[in-house]
Amino acid sequence: MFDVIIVLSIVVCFGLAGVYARLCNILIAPVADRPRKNPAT
Amino acid sequence: MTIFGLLQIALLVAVLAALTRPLGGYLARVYAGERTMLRPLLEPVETAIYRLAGVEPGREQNWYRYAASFLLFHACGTLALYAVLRLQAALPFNSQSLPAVAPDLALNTAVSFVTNTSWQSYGGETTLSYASQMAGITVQSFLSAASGIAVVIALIRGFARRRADTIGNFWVDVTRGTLYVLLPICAVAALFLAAAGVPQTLGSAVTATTLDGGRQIIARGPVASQEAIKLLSGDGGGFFNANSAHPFENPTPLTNFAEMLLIFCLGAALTNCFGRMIRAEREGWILLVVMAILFIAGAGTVYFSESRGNPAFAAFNVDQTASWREPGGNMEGKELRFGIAGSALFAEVSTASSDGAVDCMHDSLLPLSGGILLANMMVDEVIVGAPGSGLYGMLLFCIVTVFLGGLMIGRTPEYVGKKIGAPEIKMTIVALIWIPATVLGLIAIACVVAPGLAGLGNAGPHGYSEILYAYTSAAATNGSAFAGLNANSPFYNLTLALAMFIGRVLVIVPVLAIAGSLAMQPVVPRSTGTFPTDGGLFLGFLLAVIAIVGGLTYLPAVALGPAIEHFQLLNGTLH
Repeated sequence: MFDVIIVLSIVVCFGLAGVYARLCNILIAPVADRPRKNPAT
Repeated sequence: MTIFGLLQIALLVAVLAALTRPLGGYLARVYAGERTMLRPLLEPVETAIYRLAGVEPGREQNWYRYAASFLLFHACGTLALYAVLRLQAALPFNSQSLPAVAPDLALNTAVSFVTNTSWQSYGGETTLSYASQMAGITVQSFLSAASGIAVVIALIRGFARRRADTIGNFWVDVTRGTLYVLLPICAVAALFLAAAGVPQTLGSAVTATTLDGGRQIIARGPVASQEAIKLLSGDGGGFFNANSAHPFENPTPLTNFAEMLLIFCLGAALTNCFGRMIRAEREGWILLVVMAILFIAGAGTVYFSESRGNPAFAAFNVDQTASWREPGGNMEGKELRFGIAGSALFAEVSTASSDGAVDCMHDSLLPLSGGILLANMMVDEVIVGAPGSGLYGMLLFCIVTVFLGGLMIGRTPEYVGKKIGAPEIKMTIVALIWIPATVLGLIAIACVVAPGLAGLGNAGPHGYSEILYAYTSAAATNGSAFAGLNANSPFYNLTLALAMFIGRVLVIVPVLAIAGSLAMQPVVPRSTGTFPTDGGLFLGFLLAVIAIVGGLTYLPAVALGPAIEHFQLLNGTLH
């Protein structure tokens, strides 16, 4: 029982970290929208 | 303080400085995919790994995909290590028939090693089987270090590239870091340690009869191989409970010196790798000089404090003077073979880096020394730090420094040719705020709830310092313990796991966001209005920012613990 709860909490925590990454992406959005001229150097 | 002790500090700094450039150059070539000495030997292995994993090495990722790969890798690592620990009774190489690790302890240990913290609420030789040590702990030591280096390489690419969408491929960076950097150095280091007397065997513990007829069980195992990556990775989780104070992990003063070198070498070399990748080596040297100044100041203070001895012993007429018969000073909790200098220097190296290995008991250090070790961790371990996390922490402080400089003169701040705008500042603050918020919040809870107070080994300011140290060490991904605190309880196992998760994962995501944001920018040519970041003014300013932002955040917390204990000790009112 404990194992199921712990495994689920690990999955949920990393899932929430994914949501947090999404929020960070929104926070830097103005830069992400800048025009891109050249591909990777 | 003795000449020999001071020479040890000087020699360590000199050898590190000499290693920084060649190793930094090697790292830069490895991560650029250029030819290196080991490439002909290891390239077939690298290609086979990509083929097996379905990775296209030429396909780069934007920051968001890079972060998603990082999170997926860490989630899978946590689940895998948790499974190994819970199933260890059924796995092979369990000669002591050790039972499965308890669920809360297994979670704490899994998060601890995946996040490169290596906080250990358990005793290694009495809790983990050889399979758990080798397939669980050692594997994660390699992978957590490789992913930490990958993150800082991605950030450096953000500074180096112009108008680019991508910052590299996480899977390629982790593979290259493991194959070309960590494995070769560890192979050499493990052979050296084994030759110096560190055991490397799958044989079970030895039962010995002592001189007075008693029975003693002497634990051993595959120690040398784990010891090498424990130090190089900035991980620090010992095979034995006593960590590097155990003679089987660290048998001689020579191995003690080599272990400190292993802890610091990659973190120092990454500064040169940074300089080379942005084509301005001097910028990298400036960062290393800042690290060196902070390190020498800390090491000198700890050595001075411990050499002076414990003032409370004066009332008992205890001779604490160094002589040919005794090392003098405060030898409580220290190994005679390392003495004051070897112990003080190792403690400073261990907390300035993110390693957390210990060769003396930090709980037995004098309050001033304990305060310095705490300060090292509180400034986000930017004094060399772990491979990767030390340098990205330092680069965050660089961004804050040029931002403050820009505010003073009314110009948009720039750092190594990139404009630091609102998105970068937002992400820097997000990254920097997590650790103090976590540490201070969890300490406040632990100091008032019964399960938190139940783990204390001491009352008063020293007991508070034990809690402060535990959460600071966990959130800063250091992993060293102040001892005295019984942290193997559901409360501490869960809250410390949370602190480690936040200190690693929630800091790295905004760091990668900064990398992505910077990579998209063009490079701004240097002008007369640019704040020079390769000179003494920036160096001094950066030092001040680290001290103010890092130090003052925690000042009230430190005042209640090591600071008050120090003054009580001086006044003779410490009980």
